[in-house]
Amino acid sequence: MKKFDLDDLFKNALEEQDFNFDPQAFKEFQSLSNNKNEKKRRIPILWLFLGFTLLFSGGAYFLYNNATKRDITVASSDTSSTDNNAYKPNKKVLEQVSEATNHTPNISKNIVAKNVISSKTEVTNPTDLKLNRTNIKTYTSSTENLNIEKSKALGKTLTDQNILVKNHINSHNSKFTYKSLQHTASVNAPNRGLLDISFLPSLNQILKDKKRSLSFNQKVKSLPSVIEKYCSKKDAYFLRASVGRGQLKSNHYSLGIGIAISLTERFGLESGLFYNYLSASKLKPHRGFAQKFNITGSNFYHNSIEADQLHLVSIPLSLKYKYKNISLSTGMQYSYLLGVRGTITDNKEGTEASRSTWIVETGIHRNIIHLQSGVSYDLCSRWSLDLTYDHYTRSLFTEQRNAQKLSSLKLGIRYYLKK
Amino acid sequence: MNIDITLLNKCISGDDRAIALLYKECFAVMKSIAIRYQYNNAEVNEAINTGFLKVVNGLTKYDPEQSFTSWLKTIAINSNIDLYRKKKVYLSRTLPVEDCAIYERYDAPIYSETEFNAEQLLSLVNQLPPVSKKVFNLFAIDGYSHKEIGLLLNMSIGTSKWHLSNARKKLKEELSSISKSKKIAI
Repeated sequence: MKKFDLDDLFKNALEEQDFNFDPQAFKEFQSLSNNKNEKKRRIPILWLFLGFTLLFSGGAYFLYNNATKRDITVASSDTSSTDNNAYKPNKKVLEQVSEATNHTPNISKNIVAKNVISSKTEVTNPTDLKLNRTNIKTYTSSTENLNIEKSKALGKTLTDQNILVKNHINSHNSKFTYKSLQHTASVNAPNRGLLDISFLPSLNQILKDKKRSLSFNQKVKSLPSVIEKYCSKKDAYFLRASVGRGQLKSNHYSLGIGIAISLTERFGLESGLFYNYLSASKLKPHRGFAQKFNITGSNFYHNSIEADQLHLVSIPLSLKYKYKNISLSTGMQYSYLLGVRGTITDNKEGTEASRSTWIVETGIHRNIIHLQSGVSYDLCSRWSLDLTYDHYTRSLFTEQRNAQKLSSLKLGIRYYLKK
Repeated sequence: MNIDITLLNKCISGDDRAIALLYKECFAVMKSIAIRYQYNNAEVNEAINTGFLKVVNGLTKYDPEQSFTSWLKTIAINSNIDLYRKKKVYLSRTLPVEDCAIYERYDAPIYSETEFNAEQLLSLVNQLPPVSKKVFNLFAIDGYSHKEIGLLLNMSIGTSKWHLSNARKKLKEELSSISKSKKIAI
């Protein structure tokens, strides 16, 4: 007879017992498996939504920043107008513009047109162009010469390669700065000078560019499996959507994916990538913006352009303290301005009308840092409720007169993909 | 348990028959683990099924050079522990390691093979307090170290040692009382 100590006695008796197959258990397994599959089908929708959001943000970024050689036509968009007093710059002006762009291909240019007359008055002396060289941004001009001979009037000229730029020059002393798309186009019209520069970038050009095209050929693994494979088991991953209200009656929306890294039992770090949309109808009118795309090509007389919708991508970094179901966090968030939409007001006929359009980002800080603190309450194992306060350390706008901070309070919900 | 690699490949491709066959093959091993960690039949089935679902979903990660049985056992034990965590019957007690040293020096009693059957021993294990039961199963039967148990059950090494000695003490008492009653009956 074999003799065992206590542990061995239990080990030998219980480690590998023989059990017959139980069909009832297998039926339960099948129903469990079906339920899991149904849940799995729902998840890709979430990923698709997130993917589209990222794609949209990336696309907007490309459209703003990555066009290189384009056709540029500077024209009065009011071409259909029968107004005889419409501004028609002469050949001399165009030659000077051409000279400026051709001789300085790698520097930023500010082309200042003095004594440019409103579209309602006759052009008398549209000369005195001068070139200001600055190093703010690099401008890459096409090596092609601008064919000035063929262009008799502003409206058909400045052929670079792919961009179409249309201008309204409607007032005295209009000062306009133009850079190519990488760069932005901007208008500065101190005396209600209105300049509408529109870019129609060639989408095909961007998509054909191999370096920038996105490849979908690779087999995409599901994100949870990638997370499980490459990331630490202690880390938690979550999706967060939040809505809030801020200063100047601004509305704040945020959506993104985050990671919570536990340092100790109670303390941890949180970070992630979030898309933020900020809408504020009460921002002060900010002249100096220009319409970025003029898809419709309609004949708007633009009397004011106001920035009122900001699209940002943010990376927060905060320290988290967890006690039972409640987590407190504090830290900072870096945001990069992807794009701005503004409202153009039209009062050509004396009646107010406005439309929303993309505008260039001059006058707004592209890089924004703000402080963030928040409290989170775990509703259950996967869901939690977030309340966050964002405090902007500096104004959104570069100009002092538009010193507006948009600190906000947001209520959000987060879903843990892995906890 | 002999599992053919082609069967596993079929399971990966989603063949229902192959999955059913694998379930039959794995059932005994998974049940013998689940029955030690859970308390009733419903919980046992739940533990088996959630564990097996993890096995099927994780087959792509399985390394054929590794023993399938040990891989299966690891998943089964982890899923049992996960279920236990979910149900929040967590009654952890924390004791410093020094205080637990005394429990390590237990006198190993000698038992004969035929004295107790598996059913009796299982019922004794099931009478243990929940955490002590888990620790005893993990340490004495599944061969986990106190460090591993601490990580699994989120407790210190000292606490794990205390639970083990507590379990041993109780089991020893129960076994001796059963032995005495048998002798009296004879």
